Amino acid sequence: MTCQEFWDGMPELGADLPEHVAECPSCAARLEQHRSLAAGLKRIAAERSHEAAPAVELRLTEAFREEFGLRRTPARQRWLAWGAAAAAVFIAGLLVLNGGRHPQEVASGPAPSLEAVDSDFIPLPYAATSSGEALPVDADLLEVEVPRSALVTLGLPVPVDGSGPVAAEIALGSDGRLEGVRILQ
Amino acid sequence: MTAGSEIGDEDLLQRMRAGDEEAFLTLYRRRQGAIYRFAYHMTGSASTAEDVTQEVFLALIRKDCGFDPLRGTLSGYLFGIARKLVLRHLDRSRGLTELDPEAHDRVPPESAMGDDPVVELIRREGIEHLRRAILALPKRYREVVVLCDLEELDYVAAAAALDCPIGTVRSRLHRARALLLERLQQRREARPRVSALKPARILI
Repeated sequence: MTCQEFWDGMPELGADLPEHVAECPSCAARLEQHRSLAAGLKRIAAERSHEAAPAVELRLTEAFREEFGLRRTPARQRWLAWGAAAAAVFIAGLLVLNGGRHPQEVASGPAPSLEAVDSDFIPLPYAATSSGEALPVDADLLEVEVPRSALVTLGLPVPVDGSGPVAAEIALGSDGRLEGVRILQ
Repeated sequence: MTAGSEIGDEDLLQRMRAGDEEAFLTLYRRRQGAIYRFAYHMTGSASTAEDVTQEVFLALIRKDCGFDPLRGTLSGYLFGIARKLVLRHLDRSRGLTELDPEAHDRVPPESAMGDDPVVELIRREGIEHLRRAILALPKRYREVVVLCDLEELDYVAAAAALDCPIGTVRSRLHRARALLLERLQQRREARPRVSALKPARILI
């Protein structure tokens, strides 16, 4: 067998080696290089740490739910995300409207009791409802999470149980203005 | 052991087609690593590998994904889609492939070499040079190395993924390994030995 015939048999890809390798030091050395290469390739193959980022799985899960009409959880997440954004705007807007007054000045008059908070919307200082009018019937309700510190700043009662943001509902008038807030927690 | 690990890909796919999200996630978690690594080793880019992985499974989610179990395994089908996406990417960014730049800094210092420089190079200088040598292979050779050697697909599965006869897979792999050895040899010859370097004279 010639060297060419030996390599034409692709010995590096098979387990059975012809006798030629025992007779030809050059081919034996070359085969040893191939074995070393195969070992190096195995070392790369053994590295299984490369994987797609978790964000890919989240995006695909979203796509799967969309494709199969399973939108409950993402819809709720989007709702909460919009709510959180609205809460931020709501709080920032109130702080601007209050012109940096002391928190005590914001809550003019007696603060509503928690019993009232549980059942009714608390009118905001500038809202039409604050002068005794009822909440507009066409008000949009938005579920948000409000930081406890923001409730304190606005002079609103803070639920004593639990910690972290407080779940609340805000009412938007037809003109887009915030009319009231109701603590849900 | 989870229930998903006992269920075959095709059964998971059937459940997934019925809207079973858990089946989809089991299938995704089982197969995403191999698809990601295939794209990564083919392109040298983690972000491209991520895009390809996402596109492959998005294609699977679509109700008209076109997978036919009579024509091959789901794994082969996924590799087939990944390959098309990778080739499209490589055609668009011809010659721009590069591995993780940090990898270039991991070359250990030169020292005395063994009897066989290529064997020694692979053993001593680690796998980074080998990784780069793979990335420098022509696409048709690179893909067989990645599928058969790195992802350890058998020739039948690789042939299905590459849509070519088994004999072609073997001959390309044979040629690819020869090219890899050539490139490693060239690299070895391009690097001077420490003993061949002249010490610099320092003037103060």
